[in-house]
Order: sequence, then C-alpha cells, then structure tokens
Amino acid sequence: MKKRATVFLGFFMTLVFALSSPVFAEEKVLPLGLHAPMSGPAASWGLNLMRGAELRAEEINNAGGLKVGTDIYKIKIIGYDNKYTASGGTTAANKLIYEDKVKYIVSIVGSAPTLASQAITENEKVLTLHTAWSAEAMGKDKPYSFKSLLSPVELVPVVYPWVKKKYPKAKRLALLAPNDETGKDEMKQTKPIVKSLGYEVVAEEYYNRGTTDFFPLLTKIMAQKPDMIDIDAAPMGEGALIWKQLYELGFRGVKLWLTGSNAAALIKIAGKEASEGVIMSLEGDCEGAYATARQKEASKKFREKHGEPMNFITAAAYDGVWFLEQAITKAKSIDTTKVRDTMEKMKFQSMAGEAVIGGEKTYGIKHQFLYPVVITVVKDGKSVPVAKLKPLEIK
Amino acid sequence: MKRDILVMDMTLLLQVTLNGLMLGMIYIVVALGLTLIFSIMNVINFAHGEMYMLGGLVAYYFSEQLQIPYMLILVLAMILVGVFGIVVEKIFFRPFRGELLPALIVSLGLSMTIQTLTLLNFGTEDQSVSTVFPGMINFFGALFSKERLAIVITCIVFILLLYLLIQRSKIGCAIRAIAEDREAAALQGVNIDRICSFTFGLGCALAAAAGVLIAPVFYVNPYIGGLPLLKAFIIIILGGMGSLLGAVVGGLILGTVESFGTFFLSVPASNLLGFIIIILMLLFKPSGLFGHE
Repeated sequence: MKKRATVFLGFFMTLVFALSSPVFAEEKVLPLGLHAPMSGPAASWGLNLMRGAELRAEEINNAGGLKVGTDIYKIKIIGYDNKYTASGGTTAANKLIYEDKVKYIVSIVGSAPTLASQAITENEKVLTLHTAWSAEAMGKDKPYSFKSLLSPVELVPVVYPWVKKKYPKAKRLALLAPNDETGKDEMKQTKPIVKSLGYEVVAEEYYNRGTTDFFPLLTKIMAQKPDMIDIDAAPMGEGALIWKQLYELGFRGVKLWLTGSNAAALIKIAGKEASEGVIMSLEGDCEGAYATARQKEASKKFREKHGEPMNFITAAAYDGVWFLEQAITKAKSIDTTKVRDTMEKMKFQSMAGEAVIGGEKTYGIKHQFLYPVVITVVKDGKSVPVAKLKPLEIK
Repeated sequence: MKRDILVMDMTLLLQVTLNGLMLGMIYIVVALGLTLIFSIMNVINFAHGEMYMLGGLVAYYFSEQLQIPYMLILVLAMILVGVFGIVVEKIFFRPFRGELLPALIVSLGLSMTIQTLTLLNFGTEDQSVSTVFPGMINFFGALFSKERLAIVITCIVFILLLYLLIQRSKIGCAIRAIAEDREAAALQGVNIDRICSFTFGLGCALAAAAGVLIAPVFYVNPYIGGLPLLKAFIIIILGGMGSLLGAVVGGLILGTVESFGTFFLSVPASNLLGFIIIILMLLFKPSGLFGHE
C-alpha cells in the first residue's frame, strides 16, 4: 500500500512538474506587423525590412518561442506594402490592426506612411517602432510610438564633429535632399546643427524622387563652390547617380552621405573613382572591423539565407523585433501599455552594442533608441570602417 | 576681376545649355517612338516606358552577364523589343486600333503587367551597366562625359535615319499615307495591318534604343520607364501629337527649360514650368507646335 502510494505520488509530482514546464505551457502566436514600400523604387527597403524582422523571429521561434509568464508565443511577422505614401500607410495599418489583430508594429519605413499610420495606432494603443525621420512622428501626443532608427537629428551632432575634425578645411557646405516630407524635415533638423558647428550652408537644394539626370541641379550647386556636399537622405540609386554626376562635373571636395548605407551598390553604379572618399554613417558594417559578435553571427545567418550581408535596414528590423522581445520579457506581459512603460525605463541590447532610450530634448519624449554608429569611407573601391561613434546620450 | 566673372558666367551658361541639350536628346528618342505610334494608330501607349525599360534590361543582361559588345547590344535590343512590340500590337492593340480610350486602358494594363513580370524576374535592385565611353570632355570650361556625348550623337543619327525612312522610303510613304487618311491609304493598296505592326515595332525599338543608350549613364530597374514616359508625353503635346519634327523641337525646348529652370529657380519650379508650358499650349494651340488639327 505504501509502495503504491509512493508510486502514485511520484507520478502525480511528475505530471504537475511537466504541466508547469514550458513544454506544456500554452503555445500561442504573437503577430508582429510592419509596413514599408515593397513596390516602386524603394521596394528593396521593404523587402529587406521583412527579411531582417523574419530572421530575429526565426531565432526566437527556434529557441522555443517568446515566454511571457506561463505562455509561450511563436512570433509571426506580417508585412504590407505601404507604397511610401500616406494612403498606403493608412491601408496597411488598417489591415494589420483590424484584420490581423496586431498589437505591435515592429517597423515602418517612410515619414508620410508613419504619420498616417499613427492616426490609427495611437487610438488603438498599438505599440509602434518606426524609422520615420519626421520630427512629427514622435512626441508626447504619440505615447505609443518609438523610433528604432537613428535619423539626421541624432547622427548630425555625432558625425559632423568627426568630419570637421577629419577635414578641417571644409567650410562651405552644400545640402541636397529629396523634395518630400522626409527630405524637408531632415533639412530643417540638419541646418541649425551644422551652422552651430561653423559650417556655411552655401546651397540648400531639393530634388524629386525618381530623378536620374542631376546635371542641371548639380551645376547650380557647383556654382556655389562648396568644399563639402552632404546628400543626406538620398536613397541608394539616386545617391549613387548624384556622386557619379558630381564627379563628372569636377567635384573633388568632401563627400558626405549622412545616411548612406550600401557602399557596394554605390561603387557598382557610380564607379570606383566617383565613389572614392564617400563618407557614410549607416552602412551597417555587420561584418567589418567594428562589428559586434552579434552582428557577425546574425549577418552570417542572413548571408546563408539571402546571399548578402545585413545592412542598416535589415539590422533596424532585426533590432525592432529584438527590442520588443526584451521589453515584453521584462514586462512579463503583452499588454502594450505595460510594455511601453517598461520600455521607457530599460536599457537594451542592439546588434551594434548597448542601446538606450533617449530623445527627450529633441522630441519631448524619451522614445528614441540610441546605439553606436560606425563611420565608413570608400577607399579604392572598398568600404572601410574608420570610426565607431556613440550618440551623445550614451554615457 | 570683371573678366574672370564674365568667363565664369559664360562657362556656366555653356554648361547649363549643354545640360539642356543632353537632357532634351534623351527625351527626344523616347518621344519619337511614342509620337510615331500615335500618328498612325491613334494609340496613346502607356506601355512605351516599359519598352524603354526592357531596352535597359537587355543592355544589362547582354553587357554584364554575356559580355556582348555594346553596339551589337543596341541592335539586338532594338530587334528583340521591336519584335515584342509587333506581337503586342497584333494581340492587344489591333482589335482597338483607332479607338482612343479602349487602347489607352489596354496600354495601361500592359504597362503594369510588363512591370510586374519584370519585377518578379529581375528583382528591385538597381543594376548598373558598364560604360563603353569612359572619361570627360572639357568644352571651353563646361564639362560633360563622353558617354553623354555618345548619346547625343547617336540620337542625332537616329533622328536622321528616321527622317530618311519616313520621307524617302516606300514604307515611310505608306506610314505617312496612313497618318494622313487611313481609309484613303487602304484604297490605294496600303496594307494597313502590316504597316501598323511595323510602325508599332519601330516605335518600341526606338524606346528600347533609348533604354540601351541611357543604361550606362544612369541605372536599370523595373521602374525606370515612368519618368521618361511622362517627359515624352509633355514633349509630344508641346510639339504636336504625331509630329516627328514636333518631338525633336519639343524635346529640345523641354530640356532647355528644365536645365535653366533648375539653375535659376529650383527642381520643383522647373518641373512646374514644363506643365505650365503644356497648359498654355493646350489653351492657345491645342494641336501643338507642329501638329495638325
């Protein structure tokens, strides 16, 4: 009798232990949304964003899922094409929130689609990590919106002093940006900072996205005899053509592409000579001398899957999912308000190293992720990492 | 000192003028095919930009993947896209010949289909085509690349060849006859179907030639056809729908206006200037500079 009771108790204890272990915890799906241009000239951004987010989701799922209390969540990434337009952003947000029942959006590309999307996400308390550079995309009136990508307002105070130290003779600066919400906003943010650093802004020009012949515009800029030109937020193809045509027009000064991100594509389109000396701060450098172990590991997996290394956009999406995972784990809840409150107070790990939440001085709310950036310069047809800089708020 | 400033100004003036000329030439080659197709078929072909894009893609594959000589690529692209144009005309446009609206909708659908199919096969990445004319030319202080000069020269050759074809050949005579009066041409024994197919193919081949010529200067992706098409429409409205001379003059005017507009005003203002000219033209001379009522 005593033996039978011992066996029964042992069986009961095993059952209780087994049921309380993660293996028997209820497995659910946590859908994470994103929307970005997946058609049109900027389609590669959206497709890369999906790939980056899916890589981190796959890592989480392969490791058993995201544990929140007694629940285990498998991560599912749902992405829509926002066509880089406000209406596209509204449609994507509607689909994600009302059809797919998404409570978290891990990445959005484009200021106009982000601003349009926020009209819905803020009302529905959907926690959003976006990459929009418009200052209006962050603020006290948008308590559920965070920015996971560094924008000119974070990059300029870090990158320009480095450039100034490296190229002290360059004083006459020409700024060139796309003629849209992103470009205008970025110019507004950049100008006061560069002026405070002692640069004279001799040209401030805008071009329409999709332009291929920049000769007329660049002739105008060259007439102002700049020592340095920053093409800031130009996307890859257009940026490469600008450098190519500037070279053809004889520009040999300091070439800054503040948000430049793909030296290989630049060299391919513009050629080795025209690309020489282009300084970039969003190259990503996931495999270079300054890359962290995490970047190298993730980039290796990414390369095995997609045949190319991770770049800043894939890293931003990867980090978006990772930031959220860290915050949910710490909050022990998937309630967006609890996760938001936790997010505002914690430190994070990002692919590039330690990340903090900041931006209160700029946006009036601490919702900007800040992490180190690697400066690269094109030398002899190769992208060479030359410095790793930390945003001012990282102590 | 004054002399230096004057020299500098003259150089800039020359640079801006040359920029306009080169810009205009690129627009003209795309517009020529479009206006040719409209002149005899009354079709506003929105898929024309896709023919330009296909030319660029052919240039990319043949040049970067197969290492075929560039001049041969130009000929091959014109043949391939031209034959494709003939097939497209037979299947999609012949049933709607002379019917403006249905043909326009067909061309829009065709444009989207070609673009999407290209996107699925080619991907979204910008691809470059190696230049065959490297280096720069300094013309009294104004700079431009040899590849741009090659485009201008090739464009002039194309314009002259097209002029000779239309004005001096038998098939050109048939094209002109159809453009004047299709029924009368048919009564004179002109094979309307064959001439329309040929002209549509020729128009597409010209667009493809423009794509091949411009590919090394810019880049290639499935969306490159949109902007040249828009400019081509502006040019043919300005020059007169169906007029080859109008396309040439319209292209040069638009290129110059954009170049000077950008230099003295801004890019958005210069784009606006193009549309202001169109509005004024439609208000005061709807047939365009060289078009017929």
